[in-house]
Amino acid sequence: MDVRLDAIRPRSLLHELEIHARTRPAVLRLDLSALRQIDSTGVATLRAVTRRLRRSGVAVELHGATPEVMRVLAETPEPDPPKHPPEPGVLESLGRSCFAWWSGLLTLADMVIEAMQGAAGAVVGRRTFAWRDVVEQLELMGADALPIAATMSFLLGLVLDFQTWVQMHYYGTESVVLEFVGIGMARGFAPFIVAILLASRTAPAIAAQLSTMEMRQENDVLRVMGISPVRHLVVPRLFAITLVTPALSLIATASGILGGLLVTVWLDPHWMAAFETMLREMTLGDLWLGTVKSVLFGWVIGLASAFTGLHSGYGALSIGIAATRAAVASILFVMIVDSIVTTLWTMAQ
Amino acid sequence: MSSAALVELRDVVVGYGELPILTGVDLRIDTGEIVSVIGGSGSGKSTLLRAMVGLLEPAAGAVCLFGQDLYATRPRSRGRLLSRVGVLFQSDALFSSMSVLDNVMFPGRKLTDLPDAVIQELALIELARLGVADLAERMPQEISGGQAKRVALARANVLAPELVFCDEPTSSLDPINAAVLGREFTRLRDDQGSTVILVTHDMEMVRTLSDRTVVLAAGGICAVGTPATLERSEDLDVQALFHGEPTRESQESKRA
Ligand SMILES: Nc1ncnc2c1ncn2[C@@H]1O[C@H](COP(=O)(O)OP(=O)(O)OP(=O)(O)O)[C@@H](O)[C@H]1O
Ligand SMILES: [Mg+2]
Repeated sequence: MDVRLDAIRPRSLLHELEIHARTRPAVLRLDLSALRQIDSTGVATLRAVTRRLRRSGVAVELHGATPEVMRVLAETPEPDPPKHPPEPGVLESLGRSCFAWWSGLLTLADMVIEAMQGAAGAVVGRRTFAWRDVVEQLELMGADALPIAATMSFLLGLVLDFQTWVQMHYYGTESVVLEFVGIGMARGFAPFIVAILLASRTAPAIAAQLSTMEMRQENDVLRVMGISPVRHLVVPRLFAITLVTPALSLIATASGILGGLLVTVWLDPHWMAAFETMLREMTLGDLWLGTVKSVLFGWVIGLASAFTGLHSGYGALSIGIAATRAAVASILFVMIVDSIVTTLWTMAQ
Repeated sequence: MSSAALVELRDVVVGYGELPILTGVDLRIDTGEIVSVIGGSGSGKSTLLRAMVGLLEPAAGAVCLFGQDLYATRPRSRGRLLSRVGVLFQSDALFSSMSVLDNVMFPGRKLTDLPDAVIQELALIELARLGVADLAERMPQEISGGQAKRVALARANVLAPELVFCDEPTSSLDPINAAVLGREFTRLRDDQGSTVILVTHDMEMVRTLSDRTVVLAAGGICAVGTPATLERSEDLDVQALFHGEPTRESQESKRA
């Protein structure tokens, strides 16, 4: 079959030749004699046509090209397109992802151990440790988060008190509402709301910072100086976050109670009695549980975000991926730790 | 063990994942040499450098610095070995959260117990040697690519390391500043007794500066020698690099 070309319009040419190819000729001859010149797009189109028709069993022959067109065709390099490796089977991809999980877990364990050693070393004072970095991080994490944490838990205390009050009033037991809010805040709500706040703003920030440093080879510079990025970058952040979480959690407890108190004062003429009940029933143990939880939350958030930051790969995408993963992993692990600690504590009582 | 060699590579294979980039690399570098490493783009120069500074573990073979196997020692003593080494990466890799001065003071603060005032003087001297002392207060984002390269070199050199690795130090410099850098390398070798390993595309620098040149091609070292002998080499890959002729592969493909 012969096709005469006088100009190459990529889309229509591909389309036209594919229609010709449906008749399954053995050879398709393209007559180029009317082409006076050809550019890269023209060559690329001819190559694409040839490759595509050859795949459907049609050989393509070019002829009649002017010397000028011949020269351009001959001088344009003709590389093979990339070969995609065959798709792995189900078993193989399952095996691969198991292996990836396992080696990720080992890397995480390595990092946690190194961070623990680094932290212990800093506390014992065996190595010079930059406490200045901790202070800097404290400012970054704590100062800005404080008003937000206080506001969030104030509002939470308010809402909790309101909703519980309605139910309790129905049964005539509204005098315990404030106590419920106070203990709930101290034991669980305040640490949790602080953790959610840090997981959504501090964790992505840490992950993005570390990931950028990894990408810019800043961490390689540290490694070459014999300084471990985990000790130098992760440990100060861990210290800072484990100081920030309990402090914020205590403040959040107080402002949550304040929110509850406001509603109680408004709704309950005997609010003084309710307040005294709360003070009598709340123990140091409640505050202690909240503090233990928030320290653990801090560690979990710090480690999750450091790990995702250091191990999310290179490239512009990886910073976004690291930040997203850090937030999701932090929240998930905070909830897991929360349920474990709460269960253990309740069983131990 | 031959303790005289500052850097020794024995039958090294390095690569990424399962893909080897360089195989069978044997190399000895002695004290007080300037050694240049040349090769086409993608020939594995940066890869070799990463293996020599402890960032990329070879799949086989041994890398020794100061007579000790870098990848067989415990992390702590590896750190001690590496603290005698200065490295300039192909990207400047300045710490973006610190000023230029703090960047150059960083090694002194971390690796020595010198007073801060002394470290600052050292840093300023080194910055001045490379002609960038007036940038001390700037942040890395506020200086040009060539300036960043020089600041990064100042950071690598500030503690007078015994061994300096530089990946394309002159790639973003004008000829005048490239000459400044050349003088700095000579000073490191002659006044300080340091050994300098230069990965470079700058043939002028190779000819005038280096005592020895290592040529990488076809997945390994294809020649080692003084620039003068390599200049007359019959090897097509070497000729290609020294005289800008097409490489062996392209000649063969043209013949075919
Ligand atoms: N992280 C990586 N993963 C996989 N392959 C890589 C990676 N980095 C480099 N390579 C490949 O290794 C080879 C050697 O790269 P290398 O960076 O060492 O080259 P080079 O000689 O420094 O080149 P240039 O002069 O362009 O800097 C190249 O083919 C490159 O594609
Ligand atoms: Mg390179």
